[in-house]
Amino acid sequence: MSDVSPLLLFVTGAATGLLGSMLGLGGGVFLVPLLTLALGVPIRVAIAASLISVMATALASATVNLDRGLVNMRLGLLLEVATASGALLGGLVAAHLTQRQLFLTFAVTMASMGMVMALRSGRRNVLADLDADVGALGGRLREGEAVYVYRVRRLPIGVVASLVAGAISGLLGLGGGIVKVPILNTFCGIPIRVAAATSTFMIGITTAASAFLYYGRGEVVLPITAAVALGALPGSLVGARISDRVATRSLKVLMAAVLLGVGLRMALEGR
Amino acid sequence: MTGGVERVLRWVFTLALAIAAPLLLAGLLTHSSRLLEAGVLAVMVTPLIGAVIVTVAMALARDWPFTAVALLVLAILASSLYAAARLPPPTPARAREAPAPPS
Repeated sequence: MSDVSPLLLFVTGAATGLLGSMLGLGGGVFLVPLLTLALGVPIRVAIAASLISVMATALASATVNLDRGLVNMRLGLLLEVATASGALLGGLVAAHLTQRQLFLTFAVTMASMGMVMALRSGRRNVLADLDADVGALGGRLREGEAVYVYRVRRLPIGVVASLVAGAISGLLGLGGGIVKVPILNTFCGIPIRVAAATSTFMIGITTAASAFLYYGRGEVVLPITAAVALGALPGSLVGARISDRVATRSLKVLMAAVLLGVGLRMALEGR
Repeated sequence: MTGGVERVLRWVFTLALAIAAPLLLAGLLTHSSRLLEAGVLAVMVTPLIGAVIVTVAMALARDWPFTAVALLVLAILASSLYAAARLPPPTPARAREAPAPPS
């Protein structure tokens, strides 16, 4: 596995970071399949590399989002209790799963994500402009001249989604935003930009909760992890900058197809 | 709770990446596992430092309910560190699971 060229790993990290950032997903959903299926990296090593890579890109994205005032820290902290618990649990359970079971879990997750993305590709989320008290968890969002006020609703749904997102993160090396962000937006009334920025800000903590376990088990292979994370950093920064210029809907439809296809391929690998 | 802590976090995250990225690059170029390990660990401990900063900021703002929530998050991270420190080394069985490297 250390025979894989560092340059190839760097390019893989950059490409997945770019795609993930453009779609607001984090690169793990593309990185783990590419590392395992195309480059022959063992799935546990790929998951560990993905966790560190997602952590690095989340830190880089947070520096931008913190400046924009998009991060709702109280909400993020509250949900992080569930997400980090799920990630810790996922990281512990992953040690007891066989490679086949990990491939199959990944396949089911990828296929589910693909379907969610396909169903949501045409959806446009509208911000609520409530004048009422925003409560302890709500907040304000400025978009140009306009100011939007939002209040968090159905918090228990957000907490359950966070727990599931954390478990997926710890098991499969993903950020978990693909689960958390749509649910926070659709069910909890949180503007999509706030949901995405808050989720990204907390991904560092989520991935750390399980990354320590992978590190302790000796599954963080340093040259692979370093090359992938180094590539993902510039990739994600470029992706964030150009994300506004791409046709999001067609990109999401394409990515839904890719996720479903890769999910199928992962399922075959795990047979 | 807003403004000040966000500036501090931004500064800490930027500094951490400015330290980690050159260490990772130098480690790859020189094949030094010490540099690579230092770079990876720099990335891994940064969220932990961020969580400590947020906890302190909540406490300074006398926002006790959210200080308690932040402490809970820190406790989960500490549990992960504790569990990681007590883990046995990788088993030969897991090593055998690795597929053959690409030709």
